[in-house]
Amino acid sequence: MTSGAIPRAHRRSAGGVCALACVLAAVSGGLVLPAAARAQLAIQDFVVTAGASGEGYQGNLPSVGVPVQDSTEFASAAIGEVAVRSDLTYAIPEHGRIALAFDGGLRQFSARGFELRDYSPREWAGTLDLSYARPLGAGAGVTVRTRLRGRQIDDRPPMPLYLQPGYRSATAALRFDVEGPRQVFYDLEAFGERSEFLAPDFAPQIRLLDRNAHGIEAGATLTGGSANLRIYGGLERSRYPRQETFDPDDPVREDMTFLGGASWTYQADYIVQIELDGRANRSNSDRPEYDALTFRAVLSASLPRQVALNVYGALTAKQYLHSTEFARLLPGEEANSASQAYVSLTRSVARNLDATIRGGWTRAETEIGGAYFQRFGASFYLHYRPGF
Amino acid sequence: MFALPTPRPSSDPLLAAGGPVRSVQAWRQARRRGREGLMLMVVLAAGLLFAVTAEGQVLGGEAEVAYHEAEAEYEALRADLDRSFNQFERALEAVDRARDADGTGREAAFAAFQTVAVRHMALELETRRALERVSASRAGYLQALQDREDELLNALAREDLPPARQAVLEGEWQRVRREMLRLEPASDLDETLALRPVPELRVEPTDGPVELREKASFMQDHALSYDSIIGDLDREIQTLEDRERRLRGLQDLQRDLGRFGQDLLPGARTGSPSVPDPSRTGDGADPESGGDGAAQALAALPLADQIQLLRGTRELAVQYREEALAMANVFRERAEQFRP
Repeated sequence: MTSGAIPRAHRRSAGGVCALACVLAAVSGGLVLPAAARAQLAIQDFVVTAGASGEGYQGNLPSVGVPVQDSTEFASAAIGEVAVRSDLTYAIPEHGRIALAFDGGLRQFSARGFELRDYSPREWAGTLDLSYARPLGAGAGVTVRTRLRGRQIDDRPPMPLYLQPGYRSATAALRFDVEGPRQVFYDLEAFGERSEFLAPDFAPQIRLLDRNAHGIEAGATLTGGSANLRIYGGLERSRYPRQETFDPDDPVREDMTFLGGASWTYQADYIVQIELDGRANRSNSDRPEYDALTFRAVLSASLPRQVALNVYGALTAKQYLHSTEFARLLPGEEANSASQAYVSLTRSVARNLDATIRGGWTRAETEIGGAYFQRFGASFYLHYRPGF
Repeated sequence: MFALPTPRPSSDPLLAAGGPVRSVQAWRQARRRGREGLMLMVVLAAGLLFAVTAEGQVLGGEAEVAYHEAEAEYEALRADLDRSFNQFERALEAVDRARDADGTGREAAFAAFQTVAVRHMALELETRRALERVSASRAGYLQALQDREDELLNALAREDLPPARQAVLEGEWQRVRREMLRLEPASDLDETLALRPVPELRVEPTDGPVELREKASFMQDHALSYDSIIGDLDREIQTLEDRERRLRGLQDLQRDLGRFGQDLLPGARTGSPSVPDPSRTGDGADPESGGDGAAQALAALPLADQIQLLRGTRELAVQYREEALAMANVFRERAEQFRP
């Protein structure tokens, strides 16, 4: 697979978000921003990341976005990564604040172990978040936020080295927060999202993953001392405009996802977070109907010799309601249905420079539901914060 | 729309995106119910918001009202006192002018002056009492503001605070701080970080060896007190740096996972949790540290700023310690110059 096969307009779109992220990086670095404007902005964080990883992949499964098949069951890759991210805020006294966050990066793989040939996939990814939060009076506030994401991948390899296809997506959301009696905070968010996947000429089926979604989520956070408990529930409606149901009265696949859960967080000399997240997906097509339950946990603690330990784990149990021999095609399910474990050790090695060793394991679905692959590896990262 | 082939058991499953259809009627009913539920939630939320935002914004409650009433009363009395003072001056001038007048005119002027003077003295007393009431009600108001600030800072220190909620709390916190600074210009933070400078002791001509040794000993003890402060600051800086490292590590983990779509994809909720942001105002606050207003004011700053402030204070403490030690040496050397 070569990058030349991806339509030019899509490549411009995905690259555009990355380019915008780079421009914003320069702006927040004070390279082009006038002094007066710079004085009104607060750079909350600016981080340059460089990393190297070794990963292994197991599970030769079918994937809708990978038309090339290879017979190997196991592949490995050496990966280099660079990224820039920043959070900027512009405070408007008594009228809230505007926040702009960007995150852009490049990841270069050197993959081995395939029967056909060696692959060198390259990923570009960028995210741009813009939000405006405004108080609505005592104890209430509203936030409007938008998110643009873009991703491009060249030389996409066959399984088992599963890499998400390129896409572009736009999200808009409106959120209300209200403080209730007895230190209980209520939130309500409505959102809409449009995602389009970038399909090379020889793999047009990737566009089957295109999706339009909107939904609503409500939550209540009970606070007290060092801990809080958030209980939430919501529903999402997704429409896949390129997937047919073969029913003339209702020709396009539409899903309704009901979700709910609770998250408990304790923060003092260490941080513990435990979350139980359940979701039930119902559709006008039998294939993607499932129930899933995910248990997530986070631990953050300090170790001797100025080392910080961060652990993140997620275990998901998922059951499809109907057996089928057809592809289920569930974009986004890698995240929703993954079981993951990451252990990270971070230590300052110089002024403004943190070094991180990270080990990780993931068991996830490709975009075809019910097909799981495994990814495991170790990484070394340097995070540089110039401290503007 | 992408045309899919008719599903066949033997066809390529990758392209067979179609499948058996559920009851369309049931699906449509569920969808209609979903829409009705959505509308109900939006209406409820709007009502809740209206109810909350309709409340007035009084920062210090009854204490604020009492303070403003006392202040208004005092200002009115001050204006009366100014007018009374003008009358007093005019009456005094009239008495001066009447000194050369006949007895009746002089007595009349003096009587008028006496009336004005007594009234002015009474007004002065009343104004002084009003000022005392202002002072007392200001203390109550400040205490109410302090209590509210504590609540806000504790709330701001909470994990996973939504941006809108944070903006609301920060806005109110800024208003409270401004009001506190207006009432009491010296901020708690300044007091927290203020170090007592090295006392000014000199070699006086009358100093003998005993006095000089006492001064040297005093300076030596003073230098040791800075050592204690430096030790406390080192521990506090270490604690904050540990917390900052943990939070940054957690944030780096979350952002690194999400960047290339390993964790956050279109249509997916983020798998990894929201983590507290060390750069955010108030996130450095230790929810368990009750502390006084000064500690809370410090804790309200972003962690990096807290660390920078404490490092600056530490440098100052080291400088004071060196000065105290140098002075102790001077006194000691001078004492040794005395020969028995």
